[in-house]
Amino acid sequence: MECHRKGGRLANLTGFYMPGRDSVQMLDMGGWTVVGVSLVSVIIHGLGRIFSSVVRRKE
Amino acid sequence: MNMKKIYLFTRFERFWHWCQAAIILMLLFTGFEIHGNVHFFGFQKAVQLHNLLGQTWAILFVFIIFWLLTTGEWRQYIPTSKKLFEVVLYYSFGIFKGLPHPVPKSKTAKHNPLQRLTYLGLTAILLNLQMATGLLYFLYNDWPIWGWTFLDLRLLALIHLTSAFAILTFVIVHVYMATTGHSVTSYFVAMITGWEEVGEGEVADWEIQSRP
Repeated sequence: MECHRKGGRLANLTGFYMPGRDSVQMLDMGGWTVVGVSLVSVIIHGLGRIFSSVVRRKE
Repeated sequence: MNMKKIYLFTRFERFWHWCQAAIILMLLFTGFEIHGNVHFFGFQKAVQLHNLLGQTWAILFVFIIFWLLTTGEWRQYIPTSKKLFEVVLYYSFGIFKGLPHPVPKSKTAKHNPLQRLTYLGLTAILLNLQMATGLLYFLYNDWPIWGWTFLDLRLLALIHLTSAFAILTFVIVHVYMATTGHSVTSYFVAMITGWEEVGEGEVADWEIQSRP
């Protein structure tokens, strides 16, 4: 069993920051949201490029 | 359209780029394992790898800065707002209409204004913030020896995490932008061979070098 995981063997030790267990939920959510939005954006942009080049070739 | 090739990236730049890419990807992977998002190496192994990669990165960084200063290539990263708006407009609209890029590349200006800003921000701010907080984090057990009682591990870790998210976002957008060259692969090929394929008329004659 991991020690640093949430609910791991060191879960009961408090009063200090422990990597792997502690974070700020808002920061984690914000961070992954930004990462996710950038991933979705580049996929949409890429699809837009493919689509528009197909349309242009037909014209 | 006829193709021309221009030599943009020297051997060191390509070595630098791909080493940096590999190290940063592995730092992100092991870093997010330490943070608890990935379970692959196990915590201890991830920490050991992350520390080793961080030190390797620091050595590479010294060589990068040395190269930038001695070759004068740092000038390629001087930010400019000239044509910045045109470049943003191009990637937002022009690219879908098949319009040409508003800033043609040359040996002396291989980055467009948007790239200059991005790479400068990355190299001068983000990576330094990451190295500084990472080094302090690494030295955590020595803080009492140095009398660094004012430091707060939680704050350091959260700054380190925030810029890790920013670097991961950069990587995603950067890899995607690498497909927007003359052909989907031309930027990738340029970064591997040094030679970039550009459409004729996009580059002046004097920019074309013969193969060494």
